[in-house]
Amino acid sequence: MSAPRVVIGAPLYNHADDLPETLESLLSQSYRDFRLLCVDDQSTDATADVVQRYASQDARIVYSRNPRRLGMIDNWRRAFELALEDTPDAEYFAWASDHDIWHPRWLATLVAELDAHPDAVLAYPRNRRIGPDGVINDKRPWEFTTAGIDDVSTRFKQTMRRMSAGNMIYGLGRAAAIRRAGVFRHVLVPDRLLLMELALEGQFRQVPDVLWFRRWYGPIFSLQRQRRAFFPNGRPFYAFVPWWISHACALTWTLTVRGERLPRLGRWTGLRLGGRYLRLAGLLHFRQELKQLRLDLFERATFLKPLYLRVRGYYRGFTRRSRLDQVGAHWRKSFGDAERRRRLVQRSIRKTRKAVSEGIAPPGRSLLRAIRALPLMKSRIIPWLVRQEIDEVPSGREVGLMRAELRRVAKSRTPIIVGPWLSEVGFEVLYWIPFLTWAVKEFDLSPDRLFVVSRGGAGLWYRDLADHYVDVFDLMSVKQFQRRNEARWQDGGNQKQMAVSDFDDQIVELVKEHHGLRDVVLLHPSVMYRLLRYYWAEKAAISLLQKHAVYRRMPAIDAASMLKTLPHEYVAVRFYFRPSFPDTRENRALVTRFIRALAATTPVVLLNPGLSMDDHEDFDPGTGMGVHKIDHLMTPTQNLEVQSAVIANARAFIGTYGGLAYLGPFYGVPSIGLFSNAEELVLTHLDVSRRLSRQLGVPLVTLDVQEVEMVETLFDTLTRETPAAASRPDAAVPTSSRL
Amino acid sequence: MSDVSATDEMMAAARTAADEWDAQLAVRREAFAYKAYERVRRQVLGLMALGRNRRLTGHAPSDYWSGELAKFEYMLDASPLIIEKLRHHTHNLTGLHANHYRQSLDKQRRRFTEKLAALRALDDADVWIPESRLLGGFGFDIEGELVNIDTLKFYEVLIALHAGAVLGEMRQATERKLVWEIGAGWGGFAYQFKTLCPNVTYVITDFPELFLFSATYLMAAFPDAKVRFYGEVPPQETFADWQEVDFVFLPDTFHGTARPDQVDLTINMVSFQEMTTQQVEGYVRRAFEFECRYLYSLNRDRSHHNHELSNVRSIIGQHYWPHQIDLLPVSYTKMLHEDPDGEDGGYKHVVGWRRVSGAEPAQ
Repeated sequence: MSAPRVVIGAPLYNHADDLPETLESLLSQSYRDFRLLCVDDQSTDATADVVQRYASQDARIVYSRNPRRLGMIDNWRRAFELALEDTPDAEYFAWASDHDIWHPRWLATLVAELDAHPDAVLAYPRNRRIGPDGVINDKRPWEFTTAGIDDVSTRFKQTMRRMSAGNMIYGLGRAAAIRRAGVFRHVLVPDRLLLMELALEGQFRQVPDVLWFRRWYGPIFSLQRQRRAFFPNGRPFYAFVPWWISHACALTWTLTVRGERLPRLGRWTGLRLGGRYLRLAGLLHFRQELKQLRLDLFERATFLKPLYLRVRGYYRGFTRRSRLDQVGAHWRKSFGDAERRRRLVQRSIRKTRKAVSEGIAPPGRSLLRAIRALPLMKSRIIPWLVRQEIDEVPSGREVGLMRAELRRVAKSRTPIIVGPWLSEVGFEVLYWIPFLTWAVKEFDLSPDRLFVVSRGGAGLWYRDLADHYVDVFDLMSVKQFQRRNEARWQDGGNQKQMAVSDFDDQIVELVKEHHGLRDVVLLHPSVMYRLLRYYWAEKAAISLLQKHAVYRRMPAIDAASMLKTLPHEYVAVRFYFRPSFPDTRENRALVTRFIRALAATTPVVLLNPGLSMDDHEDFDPGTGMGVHKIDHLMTPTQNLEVQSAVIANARAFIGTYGGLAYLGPFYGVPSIGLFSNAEELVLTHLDVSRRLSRQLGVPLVTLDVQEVEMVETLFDTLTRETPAAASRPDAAVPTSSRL
Repeated sequence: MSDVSATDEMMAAARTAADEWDAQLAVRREAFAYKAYERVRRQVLGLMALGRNRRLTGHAPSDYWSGELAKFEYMLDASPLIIEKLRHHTHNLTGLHANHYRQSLDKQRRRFTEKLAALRALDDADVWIPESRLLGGFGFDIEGELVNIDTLKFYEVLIALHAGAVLGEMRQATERKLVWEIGAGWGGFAYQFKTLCPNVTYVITDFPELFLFSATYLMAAFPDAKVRFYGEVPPQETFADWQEVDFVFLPDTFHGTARPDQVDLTINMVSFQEMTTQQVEGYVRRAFEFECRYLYSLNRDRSHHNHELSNVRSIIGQHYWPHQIDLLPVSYTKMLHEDPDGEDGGYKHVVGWRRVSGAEPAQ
């Protein structure tokens, strides 16, 4: 097999999240005759694992890890040197980033372009800018070429004025020309200097197709950042020389003193070019400084940015209107304006609504919140008050009261209204239903007498307990429910149903009315709440729960019609924020990473209902690769039914600890629940969830996010320690190995 | 007596008229398009009979399509007059009627002209192909060319395929390419694509009943094309000499049994959004298994009334990296003056690139 004509050097550093898509787009090139040399500059994330995974599938990948952190310039140089060492006969070379995406025809097109034009030293396609989510976010591709320009001086001038270094540097070049041009010199903005020197070598050709998608993480360019990234082991003095001066000096030195382009380019011409560079690049530099100043200003005074954007919009609108002549352009632009107007109106409406709703919120709510927010209130005073109450009433007495109540219920010959359940899903699944299961068995309550009352389509959890299910949302509107339930919370201090409230009474009356019941007896959740609070507050042993709850699998769900909507095999996911998993940047990043990694191998179905039904704020990672949203299937009246059906048929459930995370084991589905603030956890619930997992024989893993890294390390170690890996001849050479 | 002779005379005239009409129909039956239709009908009846059992075992069309298919049962016994105006009968599939495009509808015509101009401004590869006047082709006459909503849709798709750097490969192909369209409707896009890219074999997967439109139309449009229906040769040989064939018609129920050696582009327009998640998954997975490098989709993420589908782009994303291509601010169904679609509501041009996962390691 002949050596490849093309070699690609990919300097890598901490972009493990985007790397799979990047590598796949390179490996999917229709032009397959190339080598991909990945040079990892001591990444601290999973970069090495990702590359090794692909290297094990594709022999074209060569992986090398630098023995120490080199910084960007030296890493790029090393990528070039190693690539050419690996494939010395390679005709063409390109740098590839660790986060961009290439069209499958990128390489074939550029190779054909360079083959067809021997005068060209660099070929590159049109490209578009994409955001971290992969969506195109620029207006149009940039264009620049020096095709057909034979005069070196003109090429130099054109390149100086119009090049887009950050884009062009990722083109395919002739390896020999890049070497002659000095690869990457140790200066700031080295790509500009390289391209300027390449312009002296030959023409640049741009192919008209969009074949490269450049990922953009926001305005992150700054010389300070470059200094840090380029020289991680200490900044040399020349790093502080303005880049255009150092470039001009380097050019003059190369062309005039060393005469590297002789005889093609005389020393005098070299001096002239160096001078021209100093002048033109100086002007460009001042323009960039102004831009940077603007960015810095907006970073510090964010309130100025909308004002600036508006003024700029007016200015652009004014200049645009004056030169509208093409029909197509006219339509695009005028509709663009209309779209902006529409968004502006919508934003104003949203803001107004928010202001109104905040303005008329019951002052009591704010007051309570304020009281709760007082120092020591949450951490000391409220728990103390609860303990005081519990200490006064021994659990034995409560057991007696509970049994007496249940006996009364059992003895009556009337229908039994069970509920209404108005509080959290987690308590319903973990305690209320097991408690009812025990009560039905213990007191021989006949299912035909039971009218279970809950909300949101929770009926299928009770199917083997009761013959009748009444959904609160069949009795009142969602808004009415939310309003009344919130008032109940205010009255009771929290959402736990410790006593029968006015709202409970109202619901019972409505149930009676709707079902034509005259005399009923109530089995209210307070019976369970008042009993088990001793255990939750660690004033009673686990035996209190064990004696009064039966844990068993829930009846299977026939979801044939809904399954058509779902992927063949999937993992159900629901993350939301709560005190034990607060809305922090770290938690958002972790969840995003989790979902993206998961979706890369298995379809993910998000259980976010798209409804605000409780005090939890859903995390929405957006719909992306392999992430399926089903919020269109959910309405307030049946969101729990849909979520249960989806979980029951999933391979696994992953989400915020609590609530739905408890549900998986009841349907035989392994579950993982994440939390990050253990102080906000009630440890007894954690204990119950682990016992539940053991009893039902289904894994329910509760994981502190701080432990995630430890678990990853553990699994990495296990993977690396497999006999197959250990027996590989290159396993002992971690710094540079071909896989 | 005179009454009797008058009646005889009238009956004789009627007989003559009927004979003349029969003679005319006999001539029309000899027309190429009708002959093509007769061949298609023979094949469709065969395919329907073959497919019946499979449909009983879970491959039945959705309720929506069962109703739609029943609407044009009459096409199984179409007269030459129907075939001559075949495009007028495609309203069963598209909802477009010829009388929506009367020249007198000036305002509407102006909007079509504007939209065409906007599209032309985006077209830097000259991929415009007007509606053919064949078999009753209709549309607004704009500068001597027929333009209807389908024509604009196909034009937009071709521009998107070009912008996605896919069409150029097909147009300049020196080696034969194979394009697989899932749900080709009346064959309008196949006609345009084959006109632009003659060196492709175009495979259409659809309900057999729809071949009455698409196959007849395409055979009439390309009289010299070599056409193959599933079942004309043993199934495993369907693609044996695919480079020699111009069009292959594969019924939906049998799309799994005939495997082409290569598929270069898979296309779906406006039907993934009507399917269930598992159906879309099935098609996307099949394209992936065929090692098809590109998958193009023009669909909404989910049709508003379809509750059996999660999200088209997500499903494509399981096997292809989806890249959205934005052209006009409005969907193909709308004219430029109408409100743009919401962020999730509109039709999206998506070009998917095949993912590596699952592929064999390189040599």
